[in-house]
Amino acid sequence: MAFSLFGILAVLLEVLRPLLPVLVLILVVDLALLALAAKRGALVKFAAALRAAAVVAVVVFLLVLVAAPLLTGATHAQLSGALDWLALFAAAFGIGLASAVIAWPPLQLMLGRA
Amino acid sequence: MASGALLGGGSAYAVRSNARIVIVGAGAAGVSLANRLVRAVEGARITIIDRREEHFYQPGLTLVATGLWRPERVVGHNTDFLPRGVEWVKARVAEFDPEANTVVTDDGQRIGYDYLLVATGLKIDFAAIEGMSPGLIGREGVGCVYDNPDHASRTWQAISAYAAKGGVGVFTRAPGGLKCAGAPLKVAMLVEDQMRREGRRDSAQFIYTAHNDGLFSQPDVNGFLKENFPERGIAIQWHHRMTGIEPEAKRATFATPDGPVRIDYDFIHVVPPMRAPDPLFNSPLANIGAQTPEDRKWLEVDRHTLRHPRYPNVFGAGDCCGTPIGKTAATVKAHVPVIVQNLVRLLQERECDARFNGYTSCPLITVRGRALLVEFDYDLKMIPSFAFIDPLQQHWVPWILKDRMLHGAYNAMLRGRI
Repeated sequence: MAFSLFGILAVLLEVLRPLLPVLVLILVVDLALLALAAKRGALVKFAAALRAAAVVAVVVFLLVLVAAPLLTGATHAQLSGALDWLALFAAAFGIGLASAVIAWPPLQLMLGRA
Repeated sequence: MASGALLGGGSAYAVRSNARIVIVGAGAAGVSLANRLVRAVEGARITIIDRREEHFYQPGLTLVATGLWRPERVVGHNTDFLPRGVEWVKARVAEFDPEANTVVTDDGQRIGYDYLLVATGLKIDFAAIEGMSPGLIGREGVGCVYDNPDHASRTWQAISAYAAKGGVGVFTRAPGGLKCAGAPLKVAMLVEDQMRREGRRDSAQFIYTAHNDGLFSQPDVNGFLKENFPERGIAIQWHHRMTGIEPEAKRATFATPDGPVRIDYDFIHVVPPMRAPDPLFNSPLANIGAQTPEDRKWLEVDRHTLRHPRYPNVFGAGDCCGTPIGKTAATVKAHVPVIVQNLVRLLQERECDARFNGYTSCPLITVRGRALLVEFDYDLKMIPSFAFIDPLQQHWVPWILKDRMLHGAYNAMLRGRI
């Protein structure tokens, strides 16, 4: 059964629907922090904030690699073949990237003031 | 273009009509039909008839019955999914009168229609097994995953008690069309996996009673299971059809080619025969001219257009349909666009051209953390949605799909988005 792009987005929306209020809150807080950083001139240390966000991404990536199977009731021993391992690495990469994006505005604000 | 139509992948308002369209049943098929129709047909009077306000995510019942999900996770509310512009009659259809284009509800309302979409779901026929009743579930070692979260929760109670003590576990499968025909297999495999993980596997004897000489209709999956079950120490009794239960004695009776056989059990998963609900079963809409008693139990529809052959303004969707395979939510997902397109074509006085290919799907959980993603059609040919997933390899990814993603896909289907 084929899924269109819009179908996939619709499914993702439904999967995330219980988390939407939290995600919107995080987005609003991040945007506010980013605006605050810009107002205080803290964006000059962009590269340092980006490096710190990258560290967050790597840490979360590694945590997800270790924890994701366990959190889903499975074990690493149950992962079978390229499909499962690629899916795990892709999930870890995606969640790591999202964590970095979320962490960047507060890091920008903190490092910009230092 | 309206956003709804954009997300639904169809055109905004395919047709204008003042037709009266009645949907019987607010389960997966009925709600999904309602959502698609309000976007596809402008001006029609759409009515949905069902007393139930709760909406059960039935694909999750296997996970509730085996202790992997809490029952609250499968309970929603139809008010969250039914669209504006649809009249909801909170009653149950007691009689179908297709000659008069009317349905009669149990509170006496006569509701006329120009087009009728039958999506009643099915009836679990507990009475077909002598001594069996829904009240037994959760007592005397009796489980039954089907129908609602209460049955599934009580089944988990019985399974927990069995897993702690061990003994003989009997897992049955009725003949004929079944809702999620993979569920009896999944329950057997998940209980076996649970006892193995808890280190009590040696205290239990597992027996799976097949109604014929196969475990699954799709031949490749059947072959996989015929190897997998013996490897796990699950004994298979072929051609065993459960006919009775003596709960106090913990004994079940089976009809076999060699005569009745009694099996003593400590836990039994009872899978009764299923059929269309009584008002539909007893109506002219049932397949009354069918050659086999099995076919007579269901709504008569053309297997491709899903249109009633004798009452051309009637369509069937979901479990109540007398199609050869597929009483699953995945089948509903495939049914609904076909019916909506064919109904729109009828409203435009054109031929029905959408065809259902028999698509059904089963994420067949083999152990906690692994599953097969099985998808096939009327020809029993595998038609995988994701070419990179081998349907005969146990993987973590199908388990994740079942555990984390498919409820979202189901809700998107209810909203008519996929």
